[in-house]
Amino acid sequence: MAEPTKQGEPKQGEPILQVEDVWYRYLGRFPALAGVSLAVYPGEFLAVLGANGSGKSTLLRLLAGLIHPERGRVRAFGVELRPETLEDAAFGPAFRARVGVLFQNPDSQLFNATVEEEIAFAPLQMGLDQGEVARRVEAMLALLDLGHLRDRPPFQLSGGEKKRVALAAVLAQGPEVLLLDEPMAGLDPRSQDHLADLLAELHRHGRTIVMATHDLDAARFLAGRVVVLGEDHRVAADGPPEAILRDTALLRAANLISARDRRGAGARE
Amino acid sequence: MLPEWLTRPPAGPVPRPAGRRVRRRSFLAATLAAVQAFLADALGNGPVEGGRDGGWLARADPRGKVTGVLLLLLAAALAREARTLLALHLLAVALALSTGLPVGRLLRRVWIGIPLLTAAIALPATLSWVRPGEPLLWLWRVGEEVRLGPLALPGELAVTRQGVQGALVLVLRTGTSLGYLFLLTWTTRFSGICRGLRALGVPPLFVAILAMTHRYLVVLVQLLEELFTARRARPGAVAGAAGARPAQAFVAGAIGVLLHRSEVLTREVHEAMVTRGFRGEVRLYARPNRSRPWLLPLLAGLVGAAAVLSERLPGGG
Repeated sequence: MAEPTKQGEPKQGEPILQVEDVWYRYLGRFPALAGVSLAVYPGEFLAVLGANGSGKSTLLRLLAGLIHPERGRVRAFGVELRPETLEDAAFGPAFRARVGVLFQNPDSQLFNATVEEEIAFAPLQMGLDQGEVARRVEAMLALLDLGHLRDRPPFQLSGGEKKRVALAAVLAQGPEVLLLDEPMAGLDPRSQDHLADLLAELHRHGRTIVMATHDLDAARFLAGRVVVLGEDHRVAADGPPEAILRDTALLRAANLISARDRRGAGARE
Repeated sequence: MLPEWLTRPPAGPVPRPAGRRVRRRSFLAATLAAVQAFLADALGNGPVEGGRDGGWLARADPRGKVTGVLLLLLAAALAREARTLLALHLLAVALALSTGLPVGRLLRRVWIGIPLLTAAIALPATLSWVRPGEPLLWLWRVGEEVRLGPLALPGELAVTRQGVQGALVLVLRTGTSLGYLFLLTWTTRFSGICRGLRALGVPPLFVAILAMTHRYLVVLVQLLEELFTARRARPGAVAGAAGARPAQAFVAGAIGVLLHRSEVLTREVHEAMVTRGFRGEVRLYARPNRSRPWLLPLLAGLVGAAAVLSERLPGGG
């Protein structure tokens, strides 16, 4: 993966997203998050690292206001995310317009009949006029090199193409915050490079990005800060990527590298 | 630590084919394959030579095609004469030929299956007990009413001309309608059909639900296909080798998996819609209009409709 230019992480002012001592279990039995707290500041690029089942996707769904914690609080733009606040006629649509979510499984995200209708969906729900919607559609088709696929049904595309369409559909709403669940998964190396460049550029333009991944390279090249979720569903570490990704003992304990992995040899054990 | 049976050396050479064939593909497997093939055609996914990627009908504007086909379906529904329906069917075949569609495949798709089922359903209607009329063939003629306990059977049973005509019209109507539907789905992507419906003023919510139903039906059919492919890759899956019961158990399991998967998909899709601003009201994209020929298919529809309506004019059919 080509290394995009990383920008210094502004970590000032009020957090744009905040999670305070959050607990969540699926079906009331299977723990996903156990007392997680973290804050995301405007303009940050945060990578949430964790093994399968550590709670990364659950954390993103909480930040997106799709589920709500059993205990603890989730705040966005200073407002607690509860069903009532998300139903609010002023806050709800504004929150949705400002927070874009890329899901891990593109099949569930691509529900329109054609690629261009997929991209147009969010701008239309935001109430933009057809002319502006058409401009955004054309811009996204060009940005993600999807022009030749505009009439194709998204479900007939390859995995990488689906991912690009899903990202175009999210970016078309012009989000201030991007919540990305395993964005690099299923992409070939060239597509990974393209996506990494795009994310770095979005970050340079002030977008706040939270990326859940177990791809250590993506975290190293892109993120300004890394949070590690342990297999006990708690925050195991929070800090700059250089320090965290050299800590092989931590990475092994979090099941992010295998016992045979020699990366970071000579680094802190 | 590996279990002992996993560490044993190979059991010997693989037997050569003995020339005996295992029973042909099971009824279940054959039925599922046929269902998949039909869905691929009907849902607009199967590749069709001269269909979606070529031919004048494929290039025509979907609004014209949807309107034209709806007019022709209306004509088929209103037609009362077998010859009118036959003419409409021939028009479908001519359209298929002119646009380069495989006519043999079209006829097989149209006439094997649903029309035959329709014929079976319509069979009793050919009898004088159901549709009295001019007898063509006597099946039973004893003259007097036959009493079987409390049951009284008429003394005569015949196939009537009126009954045969009625059944023929029903079967032809089914076949003709199917022909036009295949013509539409083979030359038009589903998104085009949705666009055509919207142009006709069908409410956006209905079109959106239709599009999503189509999309996830395809996803679930693909999942079903993967389940069966995975099963074929396992030992004991040679067709017919283990009898019907394991196959039935597998199908029951597959239905359960599909149900669960569709429930998960429903939740995930709703979440994806919510994150992109959906709040219960569907707004659809009206693509800036691109000029494409639409007059010809619409004209075909009008001609067909006119042919049928002429039946009803004084002096007609």
